[in-house]
Amino acid sequence: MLLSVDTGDLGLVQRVQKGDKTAFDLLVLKYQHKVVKLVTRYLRDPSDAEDVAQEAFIKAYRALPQFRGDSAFYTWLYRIAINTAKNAIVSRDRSPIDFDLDMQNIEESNSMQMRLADPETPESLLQTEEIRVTVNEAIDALPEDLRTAIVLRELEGLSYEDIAQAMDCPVGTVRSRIFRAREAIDRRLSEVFEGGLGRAEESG
Amino acid sequence: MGAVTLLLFASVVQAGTVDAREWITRMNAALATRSYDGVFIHAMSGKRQTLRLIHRMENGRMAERLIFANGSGWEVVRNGSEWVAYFPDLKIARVETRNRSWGAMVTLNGLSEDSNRNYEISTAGTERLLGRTAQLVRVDPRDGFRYGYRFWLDQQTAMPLKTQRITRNGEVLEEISFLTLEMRTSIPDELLKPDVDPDTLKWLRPNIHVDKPSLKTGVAPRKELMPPGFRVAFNNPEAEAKGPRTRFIVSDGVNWVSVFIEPADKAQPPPGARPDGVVLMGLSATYVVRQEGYKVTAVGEVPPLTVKSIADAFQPE
Amino acid sequence: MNEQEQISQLSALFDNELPPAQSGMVIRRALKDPALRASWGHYALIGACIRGEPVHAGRLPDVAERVRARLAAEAEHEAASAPALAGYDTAERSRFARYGRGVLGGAIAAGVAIVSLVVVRNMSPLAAVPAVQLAQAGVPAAVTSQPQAQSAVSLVTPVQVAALDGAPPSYTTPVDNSPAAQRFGLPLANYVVAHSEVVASASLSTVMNANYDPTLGAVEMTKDEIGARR
Repeated sequence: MLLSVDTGDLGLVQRVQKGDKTAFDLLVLKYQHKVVKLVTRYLRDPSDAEDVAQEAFIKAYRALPQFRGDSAFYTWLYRIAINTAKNAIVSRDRSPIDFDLDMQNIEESNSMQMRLADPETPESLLQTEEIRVTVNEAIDALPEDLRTAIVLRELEGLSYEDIAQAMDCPVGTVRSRIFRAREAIDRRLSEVFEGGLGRAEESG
Repeated sequence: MGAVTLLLFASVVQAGTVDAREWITRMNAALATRSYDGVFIHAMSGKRQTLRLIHRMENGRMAERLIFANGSGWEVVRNGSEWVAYFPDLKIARVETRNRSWGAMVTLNGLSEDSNRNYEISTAGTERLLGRTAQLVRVDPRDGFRYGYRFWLDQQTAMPLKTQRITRNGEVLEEISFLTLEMRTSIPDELLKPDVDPDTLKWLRPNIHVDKPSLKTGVAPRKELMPPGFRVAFNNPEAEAKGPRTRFIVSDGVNWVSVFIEPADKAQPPPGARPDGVVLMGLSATYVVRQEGYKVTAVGEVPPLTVKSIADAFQPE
Repeated sequence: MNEQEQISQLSALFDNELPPAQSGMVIRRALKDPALRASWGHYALIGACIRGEPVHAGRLPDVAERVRARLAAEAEHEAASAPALAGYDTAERSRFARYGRGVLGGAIAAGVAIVSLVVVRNMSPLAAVPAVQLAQAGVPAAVTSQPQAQSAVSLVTPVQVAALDGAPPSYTTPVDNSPAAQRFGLPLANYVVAHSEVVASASLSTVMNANYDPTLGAVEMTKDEIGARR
């Protein structure tokens, strides 16, 4: 029985459809990395990826009232993101400008933040690297059964049931292992974020 | 005497510098006198925009029209000192004033002999741009207190086919590079009129209320505290005839910073609010420092530390 | 339900492995509790790291933050100006408009209100340059070691900045999380305008700023003023 494709996402989608727009934020938080990665494959200039990803989410948000749940939310979002990326290429070919500057396009990120976020600035490289190192170290430090569970889930995308079969344990145990793995890594991440990125060495 | 000799010596030795300066002088002159119509790409902070720039210099009067080519209908129209930005999609026009001698393109009118101390000004060969030969002229900052420029100047007209604003480390902050550029002997008025019907717009102007000062003592820059090379270039044209000066323009000849002196806010910031700090907007950095009885605000397209150092250099006289 | 169980359910919800019957309550809590929301974001980050996807430092703007800000801004814009937005009543729209301010923190509200302003939270690499240069070039100490005591807040002097040697120096102070930032934001924008009136180097870069807001700090002109310019 693999019918429960994305009950969690669906729950969030339904809340958005009912008018609780804050629920959309959780969907963006959850899928932003995947979408950025996805659109990067289509774009010539990777630095456009965040803009295109943002655009894709906005489009998805606008189209959400029409989403009927006949596919998984991410599949649906995936299609929108690919289309947005393709359109971005087309419009870029037509004219090198792709960023409409109207009021609809108010972005939180200011140009300086963009500069800071520019993948080429050493600072952002350092911070990104720091997050990656923190997460990887935390994963390495996990007991093996927790590590296997989270990797099967996140890297292989296996369902809890599949993981349970692979690890020969009950589904409840899988759920608990994944949760404990995340909790341990999350704790480490929170320390780094609270201590301030770049200060990990001092605090840790 | 010794210093003067040294400077002369320096300028003679750096033959390349003289050449580069001539190029910059030619560029300044071209931008100040020629009329042209071109399309350029403006790149800043990872964003690119294509714009058309129509610039007319006629009888000593400058008119300019900048059109965003992104379908938004945005335009900026300059007429002497009047600057009007049209946003038809928002049904807004915004009117500001500008220094009448400067258009959209950067000129370096403030270069002096002293500039060699803070910038390495050099020519760096030629490149082909737009099917023409362009002379590369570099104005490289010698320290991190200022931004520099690179100009690719058309060998024939000295028009900047490409302009970059750069940091000390050579990172490009802003680039203007022409895709087409046509020098014109005349430009009809119609080309300088906005496409949008002005009657359909809401007209806005900035509501600038920089407080009129009632300072007990004057506040002035302490030379030894200023970042190297920066000095008061001129006071506000409308500077107060009497009483302490409250507006200064500080420059090293290439980078420009405005300094505003005002009485300290009567209302203290609420607890926990920390208004002092560098705020960035586009390439401008703004820094506010509150001293006893007054506050100093420094704004400029310069590195953040520069506005801070300049603001901090202003002390009671 | 204890906290542990709550977070455990959040994790299962994240994986779409929580029975629908239990989802509702967890979602409601996640929307209310910033800690749960942060964990949710971290789960996504962890997955991204494992899969080698691009990750964003928490303080830098991520896509979620930008989408949030833009939706909030649009709602604000619509609530303020649109005659009617199909499908949403006014209360609904203003509720969404508040969404940026309330649930998701002042940073966004300030970002929307001020739009074009941002405060350097960490010293940028650009800002770090002068200090290093100072140290190397032996610029007169007077430039860098002026007394800071009179200043309303104590700031790290450039000399200290240089001495920090790699640690994230911060002579700038974050202000954009506070209501005060909004209070200070507008006047700051006015200084930039006043500056660009005299100095040309600001002209293009100001309008080109992707967040340029033509209404910022502006008032409507009177009929006389409009007439006078024609």
